[in-house]
Amino acid sequence: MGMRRKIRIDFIENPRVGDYVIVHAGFAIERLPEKQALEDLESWEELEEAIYQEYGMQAARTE
Amino acid sequence: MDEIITLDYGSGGKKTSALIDTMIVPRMKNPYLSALGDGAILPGEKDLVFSTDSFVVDPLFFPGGDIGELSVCGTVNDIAVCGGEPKFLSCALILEEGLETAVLEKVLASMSAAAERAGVQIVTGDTKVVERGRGDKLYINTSGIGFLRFPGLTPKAIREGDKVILSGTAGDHGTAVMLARSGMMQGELKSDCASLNGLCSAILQTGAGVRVLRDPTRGGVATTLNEFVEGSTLGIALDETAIPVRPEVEAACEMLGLDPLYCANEGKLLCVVAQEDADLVVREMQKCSEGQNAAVIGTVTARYPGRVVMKTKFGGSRVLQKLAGAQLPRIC
Amino acid sequence: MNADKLCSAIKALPLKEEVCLMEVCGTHTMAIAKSGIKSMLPEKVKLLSGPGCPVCVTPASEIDAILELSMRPDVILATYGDMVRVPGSVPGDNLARRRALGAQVQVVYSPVDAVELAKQNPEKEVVFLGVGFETTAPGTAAAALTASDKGVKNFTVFSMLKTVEPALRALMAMDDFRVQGFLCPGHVATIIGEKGFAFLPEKYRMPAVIAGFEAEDILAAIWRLLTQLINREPKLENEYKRAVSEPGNLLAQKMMTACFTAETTEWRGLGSIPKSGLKFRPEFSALDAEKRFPEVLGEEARRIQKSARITPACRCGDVITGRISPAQCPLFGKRCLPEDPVGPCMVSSEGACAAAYKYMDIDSFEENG
Repeated sequence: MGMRRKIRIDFIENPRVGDYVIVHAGFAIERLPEKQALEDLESWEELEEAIYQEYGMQAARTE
Repeated sequence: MDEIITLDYGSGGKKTSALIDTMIVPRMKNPYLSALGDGAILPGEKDLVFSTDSFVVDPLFFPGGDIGELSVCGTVNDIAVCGGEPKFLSCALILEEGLETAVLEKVLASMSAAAERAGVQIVTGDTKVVERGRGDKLYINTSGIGFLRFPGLTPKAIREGDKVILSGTAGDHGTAVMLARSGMMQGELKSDCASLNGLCSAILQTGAGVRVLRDPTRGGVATTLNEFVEGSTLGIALDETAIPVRPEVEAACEMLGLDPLYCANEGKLLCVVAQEDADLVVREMQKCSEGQNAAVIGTVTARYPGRVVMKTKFGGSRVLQKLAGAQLPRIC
Repeated sequence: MNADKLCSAIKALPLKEEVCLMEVCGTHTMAIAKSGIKSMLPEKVKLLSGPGCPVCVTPASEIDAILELSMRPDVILATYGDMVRVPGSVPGDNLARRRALGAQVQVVYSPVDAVELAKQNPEKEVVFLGVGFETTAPGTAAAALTASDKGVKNFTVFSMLKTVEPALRALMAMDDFRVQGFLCPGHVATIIGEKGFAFLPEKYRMPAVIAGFEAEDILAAIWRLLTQLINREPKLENEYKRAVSEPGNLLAQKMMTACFTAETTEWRGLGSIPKSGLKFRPEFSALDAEKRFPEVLGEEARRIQKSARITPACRCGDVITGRISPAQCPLFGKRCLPEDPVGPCMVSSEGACAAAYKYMDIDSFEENG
């Protein structure tokens, strides 16, 4: 979004340029996986699978 | 002129004359001001619209504008949304001892340019200087007068089924100022400061059933909409997905803990219009540069008397109350 | 899109009785309010707001002490924005009012800004109001250490930092605590890890799901909690895997252990909770505002002030635990209002009572016309 600000990275191990992080009150508190994976596709698939299996919901399988 | 404004400039003597003669009159360029009477004698018609506003924004200069431009647009807009054609402005300056003259130059240049763009003239004014520490660099008051062209605009005219139109993206100005004030963050975000008399004119000349116009300044879109229906038997149902918000404003607000719907706008207006005329009005607005992103954002309903309720982008519902005090950036 | 599917999945669950779930994170409270999730859940699913807003659970006596400190001309208080309106024990008395009376109060976004403020104002004492849970504690400590390293002597922190686990234990120890599952705060979990919430299923057989802050994350967490209940299989699940690991953020944890000890501290509306407050270790006394201003911020001083002013009728504790509804509190809507709140449920703009107040007289939400 073009926002720039100074933050502290004391709590990120081996920080690298290009890392994505969660920021809270001026401190990076954790590294996030690659931007793509912010969608966390695996996690959603697992959840949809769980929903389907529990209640045989067809709706969870429309994609 | 000296480099900084001293108390002498406010005394009414030679230095005051110097300030007016060299800095103010040449810029504002109109015979009513040049006559330099106590008040300006103006050609008149029957019904007048008169408005006043004071500007104390900090910082004086922010992305997309400054206090000078704001002071002209703010008063012009207040007149325009009442159905008035703004014509003449007064300008009162309260300067703090120690203010750099160069800063004042910049502000006056902005005022002059904004007045020209809006087609209004600054015809009378006053200048005072206060001791260092007694004023926050520069305060401006503008009062404006115009002729009433479209009477009858009032929240009381609102009817069930009417549509609510917003002329463009929400929260730009308030967010830009908060960013500038926090000093730490930069971005492409700019204030939307603009004169809306052209846009108002375009809307009202369509002959559509326009009930009321208002510019959502302090308190933002949410507060102004609440003002429309406060104490009424009608309410407003909004659709979050229909409200235009710039992605950079969204992002900045999330970082700052603000809500764009409660951030001030200085170049936008809200319009409540009869249902059957909504599309026509939106199309006319989109033809103007200030109304490019105009959109219907909600409907007047009998369902929530006196309230503004928004359907969220997730399909849930949320009540939008009036802003109680100043919006404070949240941590948690 | 995903939110719709999750809502359908939740609606399809075979719930026999009313289920009570609780979130304990101010950011969750806001996210839920902003997205309107509550209006999307089935009638039987009740989502309560617990003591998750660290600002709102700051006791009145601490606010009173802060207000007193604020009036000293040699002191600048640096604080997060949302602290400015929290009242002390006198109605309407808060930092905003004191600022109007001449107190120097500066809103900052980060404790690092507060250190900067101290550098720029060497002739003043800058006191940073350290409010927050485990998410904020490491950063607060780090900023304080920076001040120390850089020789900034006029900077101290008034630590009102708290930890979440003791509060959860205290809630579960209450009579008639009817919450059946916790949405665990995602960013606290980022710091303390999945392991930090394992005690819920292990020691209390309480379903727990760590949730992120998008509507989809929260709905997914709710679905998982309900499913655990239906299957009678309480466990800890992580719906914020992208940010939360099993061990958590070790660097941040080290910082907290190095700088703080866990002491008994008071929570507004809940009373004293053992080991729930983070206070500076003795070796960091130079950074501790309680040591720099003992006559105002010291424990003795606050204890003396406290006994004089309590609003006995405040039932926040019962509202937070879900024992009563906001409307059942005798102060609700009368003595206690959003613009003049008494307890945390109303102080927080989205707390249980503030939310209830906003939604008064509005019946069910259906499709907008």
